[in-house]
Amino acid sequence: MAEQKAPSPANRARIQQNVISVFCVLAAIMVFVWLILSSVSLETDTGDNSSNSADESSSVISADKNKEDVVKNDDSSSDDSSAPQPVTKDSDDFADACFVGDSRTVGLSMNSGKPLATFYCATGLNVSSALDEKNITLDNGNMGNVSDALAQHQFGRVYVMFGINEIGWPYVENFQAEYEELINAIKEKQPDAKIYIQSIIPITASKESEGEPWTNENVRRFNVAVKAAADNCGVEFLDVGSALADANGYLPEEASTDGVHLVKEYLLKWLDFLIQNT
Amino acid sequence: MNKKKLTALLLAGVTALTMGLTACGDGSSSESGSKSSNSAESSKSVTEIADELRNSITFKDNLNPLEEDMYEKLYGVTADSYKSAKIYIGGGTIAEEIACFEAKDEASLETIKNAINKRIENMKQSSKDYSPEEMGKLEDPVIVTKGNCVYMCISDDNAKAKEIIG
Repeated sequence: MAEQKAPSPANRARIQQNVISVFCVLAAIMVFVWLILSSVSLETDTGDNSSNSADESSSVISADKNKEDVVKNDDSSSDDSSAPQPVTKDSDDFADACFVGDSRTVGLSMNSGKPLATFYCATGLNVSSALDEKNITLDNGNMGNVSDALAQHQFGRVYVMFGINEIGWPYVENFQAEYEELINAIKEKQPDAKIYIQSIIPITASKESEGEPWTNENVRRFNVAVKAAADNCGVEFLDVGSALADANGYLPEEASTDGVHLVKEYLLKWLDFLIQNT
Repeated sequence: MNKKKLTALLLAGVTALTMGLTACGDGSSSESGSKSSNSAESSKSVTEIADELRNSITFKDNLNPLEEDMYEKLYGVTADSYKSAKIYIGGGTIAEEIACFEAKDEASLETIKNAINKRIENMKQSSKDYSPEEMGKLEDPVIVTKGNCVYMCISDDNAKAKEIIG
């Protein structure tokens, strides 16, 4: 910008003043822009607490329009506390799946984050009471057994897990026979579904220290019967238990608060195993 | 001379605009700040109360936030009935749970309160045969209504829960 002419002193002064003016204007514009950006970020930070809940609510509203997306949104928006991160998220919404089982499946029903999945389960349910007692709430509000429940809808997949309440039974043969009766009842009510019989998840070493019947040897013994029942009925056996066990075949201590029922992190590992293998 | 005046005017204009916009920015940020504190009937939001219940009370179970798309499944509460909410649940065998809602209006508040009572009845149904020791907590849950907000806490420390809810 240097003038090649020889400016007079007055002209030079004028040029210098102009340059200074331009720089001042530029500086003012930079300050102006910085202040605007600062107030925008301040507005965002201050409103963050109030907008956080609104975001959660709006993600639920969007759920009514598109449930598949909600599984993604909520899994990311609900992580504002100490909850462990889920292993997998959206690759399977289990909309065509039904889970049948005992209190371990109850834990899964509460923590799965899969609102489209169906759960027919109850605390204390076993392979005998599943058919003999009415422990499942049906769509009409009445109570029914597992067979009544499965008569209500047709599913693409049925995941079954029983056994932890039965490991103290004196005769494992009776357990196997009852399980086969249950599997056949499920097949009858769900002729087109892919049925998966899941192995019994082991217990922790601390639970095992309570003694009989709480031993992983019993879990292993009854799992032999679980597999035999699945094979005899021509349905698939899924070794969920081994997927969650440590190298010694125990449920890790951090996987459970009482040695038997899984914490959310391990319930999601269970779900992840199903996503990867079915 | 004209150039100087023009530059001076431009600088004055930019300064005035800057001051005006930042004032607006400060105004709206403090306005949203006051909105967030007034959105609940108390000085804390329902989610803050839920978090404080979770973090201040000793629970036997491992409680985690329930995903919002599970609210309808577990509680029968639909998104159009509340402004904000937070639910903490465990693994299903121990009777410990937190559910805090800010309802949209009085009618929704009644719906939510009924849903909470139904949830507790379901938990009693699950516990009575196999976890009878949990029934005591379910017979005496903390349920507090303040304005359009309802707070539920099932734990071993009702006194602490009531102190936190206020």
